[in-house]
Amino acid sequence: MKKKLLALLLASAMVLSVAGCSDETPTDNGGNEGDGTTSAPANSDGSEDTTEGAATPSGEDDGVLTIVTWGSNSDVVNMKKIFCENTGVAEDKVQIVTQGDNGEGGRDQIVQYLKGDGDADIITLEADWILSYINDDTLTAPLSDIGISEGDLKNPYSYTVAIGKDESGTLKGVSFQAAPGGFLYRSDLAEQYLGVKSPEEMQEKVKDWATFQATAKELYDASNGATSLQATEGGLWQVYQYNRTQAWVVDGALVMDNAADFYDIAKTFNDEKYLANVPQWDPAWYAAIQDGTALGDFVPTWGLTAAADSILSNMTGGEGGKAYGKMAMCQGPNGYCWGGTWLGIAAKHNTDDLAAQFIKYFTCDDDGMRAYTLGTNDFCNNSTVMKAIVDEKVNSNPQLTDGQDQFQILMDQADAINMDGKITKYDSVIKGHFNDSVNGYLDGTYATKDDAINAFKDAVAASFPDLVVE
Amino acid sequence: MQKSQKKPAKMVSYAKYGYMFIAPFFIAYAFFMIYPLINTFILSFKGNGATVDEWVGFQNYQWLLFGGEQRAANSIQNEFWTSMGNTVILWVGNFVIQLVLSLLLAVWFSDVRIKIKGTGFFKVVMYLPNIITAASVAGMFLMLFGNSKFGAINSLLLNWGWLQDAFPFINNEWSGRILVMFIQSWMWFGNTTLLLMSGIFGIDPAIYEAASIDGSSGMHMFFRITMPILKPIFIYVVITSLIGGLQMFDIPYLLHEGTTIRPTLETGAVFIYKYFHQVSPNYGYSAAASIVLFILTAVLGIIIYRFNTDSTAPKKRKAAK
Amino acid sequence: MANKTATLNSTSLREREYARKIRAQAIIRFIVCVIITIISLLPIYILVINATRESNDIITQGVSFLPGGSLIDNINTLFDPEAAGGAYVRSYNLWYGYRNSLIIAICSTVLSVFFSGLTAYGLTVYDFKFKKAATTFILAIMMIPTQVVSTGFLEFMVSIKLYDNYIPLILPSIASPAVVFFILQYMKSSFPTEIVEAARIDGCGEFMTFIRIALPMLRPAFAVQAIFAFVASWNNYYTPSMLLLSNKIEQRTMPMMVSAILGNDKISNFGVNYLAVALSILPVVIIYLCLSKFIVKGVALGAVKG
Repeated sequence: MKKKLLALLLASAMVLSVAGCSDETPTDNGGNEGDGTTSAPANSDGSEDTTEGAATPSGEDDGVLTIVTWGSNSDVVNMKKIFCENTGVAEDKVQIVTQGDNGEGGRDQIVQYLKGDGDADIITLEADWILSYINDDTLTAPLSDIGISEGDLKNPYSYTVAIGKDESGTLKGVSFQAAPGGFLYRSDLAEQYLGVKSPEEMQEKVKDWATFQATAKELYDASNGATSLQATEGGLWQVYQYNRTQAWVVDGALVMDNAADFYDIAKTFNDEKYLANVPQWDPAWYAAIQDGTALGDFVPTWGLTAAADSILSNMTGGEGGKAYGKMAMCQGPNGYCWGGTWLGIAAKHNTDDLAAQFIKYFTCDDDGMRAYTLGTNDFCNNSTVMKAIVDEKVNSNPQLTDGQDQFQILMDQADAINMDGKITKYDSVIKGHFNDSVNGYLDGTYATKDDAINAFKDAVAASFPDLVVE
Repeated sequence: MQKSQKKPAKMVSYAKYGYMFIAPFFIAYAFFMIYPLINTFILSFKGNGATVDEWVGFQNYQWLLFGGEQRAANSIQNEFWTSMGNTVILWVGNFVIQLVLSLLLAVWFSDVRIKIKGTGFFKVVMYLPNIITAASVAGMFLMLFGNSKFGAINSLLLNWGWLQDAFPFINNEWSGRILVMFIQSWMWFGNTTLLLMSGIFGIDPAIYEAASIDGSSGMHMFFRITMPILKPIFIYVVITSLIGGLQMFDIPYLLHEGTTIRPTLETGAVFIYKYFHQVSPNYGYSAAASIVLFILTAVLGIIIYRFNTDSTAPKKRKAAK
Repeated sequence: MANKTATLNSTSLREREYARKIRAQAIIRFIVCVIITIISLLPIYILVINATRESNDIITQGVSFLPGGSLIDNINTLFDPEAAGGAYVRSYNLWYGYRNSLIIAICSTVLSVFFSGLTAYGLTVYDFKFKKAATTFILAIMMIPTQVVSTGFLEFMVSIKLYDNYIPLILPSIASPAVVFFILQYMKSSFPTEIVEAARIDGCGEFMTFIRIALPMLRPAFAVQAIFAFVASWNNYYTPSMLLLSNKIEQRTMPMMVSAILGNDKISNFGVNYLAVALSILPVVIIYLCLSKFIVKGVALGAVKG
């Protein structure tokens, strides 16, 4: 540990991107910085690279639509392709600038990018941090600026519209996708231990939390402790949180709602080995499903694509893998959604017509949205289109038992999501602290539930000095 | 500080060269770093989260060091002191191992009497752990010591029947800390060894040959010849370890499964980073904590430096070249 | 310690015993070194082995000490424009990565070592009013925690429009307090200032004295610090990623590319991930091996010269 100055900066290397800089108050971050960059005619970056990643000088309408996104968001790349193919807009009229490697890196670096002179029309916004962007007028502009209003959207899932509004109710973000999820499980093991033969029967076994727990016990006993029902604590919580009846913050005060109950549920699951408790995104997660240590986990739309590296592919082991064609999907105890991406427009937008055309194509146009779903396997934000696709039975997922169509399950899930009045800008941080304290309770860092809850409240109080935390 | 060893009469007329030689450093530093420094200082007197633009005087310092009435104040104080405690534990743990090992190796490698076969190879290999970025290192150790039965070490121990259940190497308070100490030592001992060796290599071999003929033993040579000459470099190693240790960041920050930074591994630098990079940034706490950390490091560092330099100066070796 | 009877008897016996003791010592030391070497290399070995394995093998079998058969497949995936919807080629390009990281690392290493040498020399050889203050200042700034200051630095660079180029990644290394401090300490132990006066008598200019006399003598110190600076710069991820705003692949550094693949939460082919990491450290290993030879050689020269 020498050479601190250099060493720390650099050694901290890649992972630093994980943490963000300032989203809530991005302008405070650089109080002394020229915020006049929005209209700066400068062109410090005069490159004319036509591939992804190029930026052209901002200012007048340059006729080129610039979409700012992050590295792992392949949605936009696919959308560009579909859009250009079907509308005849030349590919070089749409350019993609990538900032940050994943959602969190994007949160951090897009602010940074917007401070510079680079062009930006459309910005992609991740569920976790969209609120900090759309509540800051120096970063994003209302969609009405380019002539899109709520009424233009075609059959959107209501929660996506609710999330896209800022504190004053102005629509600043629209989503082209909905991200509902269900319970993905090993159908062969379910049949062996639980006698379950179809997703419908499985759903009966996990229809609410009490049944879910009872099934976990049944499974544990039947398999002699070899198989836990649920793989990860993160997945469990992702779903359970949609039981809340109130927002995390009401009138400037933290509200626990039913969150306190989750400590008990998680603890029971962990202690009774109903939970394999492997970390998400880790090889162990996938291994646990493949070798039957865990029966299943909660997985959303974007984890179920045919891509060789999707969550589903990693769990099945891909073609020829141990669990290939041996997994199935059911709804689970309650509806939930997970992540998702919104489109907003940058405060410095200048290519308005093309931006409007692009956004409308994926949010207000049945044909466009249908083309998107069929082209990408993603779940578009249009209930009518999704219903039509399910009814036509055009989708069959070879990784699932009997080629099950996951859309059929997910469609019901998406309908069930109700987020009205439950969204606050504090959410992503509070959720992070909550998960930390639950994990701490499970691994013994906190001896009792009260300690864990206290630690959670402490962390929230420290993070938001302006909130009332009793 | 080393005036005693110079000949003042001759030096005076050359003073302007001194300024010229050090000018680039100070110009570059002033240009790139003055703003960030002042910025940090100012932020430490401003608020957090929603009040990030308001002046709050010494409130951040007060909360960090002494707590207060509010839940937030106590929570911050608690976390800060815990993180400083963790820092000291982790630093001492890896500092001792690293220094002893590095010193031993440096002496072995430079020993003129006992030649180790393949010295060149060993010397080269030992620095290699330092080449890989901390993120990859942490990733590999997480794979080896994963908490679940899928972790490599766990699966071995389970297979051999040494364990009934997977042991949470990362999550357990002390095994997690020991792991961090080990990784830190592993990453940096080669670095320390190289530094010490470069100091030893600067020593004229003729001195050792002379001592060897006189029949001095290895230990004797080490303490009577090597150490005194090596002392300035040794002080460098101690001070930079102190700085690196008090500001230890990467491995404690990275070594966790899932999203939770291990509370028992949260160091002062992790505390600073965490609050600075929150979605609703609490610049005030972070900036104040880094000023506190800076003052602490500076006081300790300068004590060590002063204490040792004064006694070294007169012993300055003249015969070398 | 000396064995009395041995001393009384013949010197040859004493010498033989001494030789045997030395041999035993050498063997013990050798074994210790071998063990340390194994521990040092193990993780790197695993990294390289994993680069040759199939993702699903890594998932299901964990650690392995034998190479797998998927090296070619992994290479093909990493450089396949179609794989993962083009995500790999969009974020990873070895030629650009090596080129950019080498430019930055070499420039900042040279600047850091040269100017630190200059500064330390100035502080050691000359006597002037603010010398003590300057030394203390350098010591003090070395102790500033980087976590917060680095963000201020990034903001400042963006506000003066120094982004999308390599200047803020290279020029600040002119002021590397830790390197200055090291060379200062090194000069204390191994640089006799008398030699400067000798050079003056010979009519050598001040700057030329530094170049001709000091630089060669300080070679071991330079070589060591050069390695550290190079590795540090090569591995630096955070600063470049925050300052190369346009994020053009032609401008990205190696760690940015690696991180783009590791950090991508939608693709996770572990074999390819390890390959991407292994390829990224390859040039550092090569350069380190070259420089380390130079250390050994430089040391010999430095020592003999005096």
